[in-house]
Amino acid sequence: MFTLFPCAAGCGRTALFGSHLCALHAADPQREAARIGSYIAEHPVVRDINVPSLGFVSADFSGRAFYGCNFMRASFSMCLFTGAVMRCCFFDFAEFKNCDFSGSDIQFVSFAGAKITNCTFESSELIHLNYDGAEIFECTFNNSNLYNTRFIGANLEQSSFVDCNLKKTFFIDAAQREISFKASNTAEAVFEPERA
Amino acid sequence: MKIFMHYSTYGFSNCYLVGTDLYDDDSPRDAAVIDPGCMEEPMVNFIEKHGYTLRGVLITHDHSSHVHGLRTLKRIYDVDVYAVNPRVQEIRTRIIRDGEKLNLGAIGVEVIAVPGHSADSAVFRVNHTLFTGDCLTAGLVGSAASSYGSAIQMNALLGKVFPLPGNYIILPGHGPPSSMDAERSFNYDVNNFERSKKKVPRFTSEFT
Repeated sequence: MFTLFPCAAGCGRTALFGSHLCALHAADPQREAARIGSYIAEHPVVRDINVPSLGFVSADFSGRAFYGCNFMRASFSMCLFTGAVMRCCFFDFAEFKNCDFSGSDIQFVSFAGAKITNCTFESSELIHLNYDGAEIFECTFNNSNLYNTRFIGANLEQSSFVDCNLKKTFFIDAAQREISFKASNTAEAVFEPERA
Repeated sequence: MKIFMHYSTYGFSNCYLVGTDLYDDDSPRDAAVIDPGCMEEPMVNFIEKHGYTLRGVLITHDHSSHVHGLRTLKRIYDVDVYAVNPRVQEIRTRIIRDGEKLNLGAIGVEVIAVPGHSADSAVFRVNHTLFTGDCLTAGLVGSAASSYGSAIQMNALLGKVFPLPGNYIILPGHGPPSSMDAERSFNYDVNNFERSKKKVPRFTSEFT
């Protein structure tokens, strides 16, 4: 699991991986993003890195394995995560635009409060994921296994869950507009709280 | 801190192993198990592969999905069990209390009692991580047998867990992980509770 070191500027935020400063106080956040991006590109297995609030554009993280990493409040635009493996990672309040997660194996990861726009999670293992409060627009989860994943209080719009495993998938209090659950086992999903 | 999560098919619960960071050969190699819902080969492998010494077993609450593997674990490792109840699975425990700080080798643990889901429910704080058992899971709080249990659980969560400064990682006993900021914003049960408190009683609204 990632270790948190305080930012040397004393702002209370946490320092970026390989730096003494947070994303806000880094002299050049884009250079920091490029440095961390190239570190990820060089390492097929990435462990325990802390990269909050940094922005990545057109980064290729496909086929990488991430264990115990923190990307909270980071932003990803046109990034590739195809075939990526993730365990115990945190993307809370992050922003994803036009990203591709297809064929990935993501388990025990949190995307709570994330804004996910025009992304694909097709044909993936999306087990034990937390999308609580996430804003999901124009995304596809088709042919994926969403066992034990939670979308509590999420805002789902123009997205599709075609032929998915929705066993123990929680959609409690989730707003749904133009959502397709075609050929998915919605009877095994949870749409209402169990207690009165 | 190294954390290993194992999904127990008995009761579909999350078992955790916490180990110290291994910077070099002189680093302390201490580990603790949290909620042994099962004790299977991957967990033993994690301990043995890293050369850890198991310093303790922490029980968030005495429900079978969280302690089913305790007897097996005790057969393999001679280690103390820390729980609010004096006995778990007929094994005598070292009793822990609210606010107590434990040192399991190099692993510091703070105990936060959150009764309600069960009388012996506790949250364990280790560094920037909270092991919440069943009292707080992603988006929900634990079920209770009575409205009284629900109320004391909610009071304990809102009085002791949610006000903790900063953002903590939440590793619950069931379901996916979360963070304190996410729970403050999106927890369905907590939001409902806060909303119900704000409701003005009818007789009052007539006079305002």
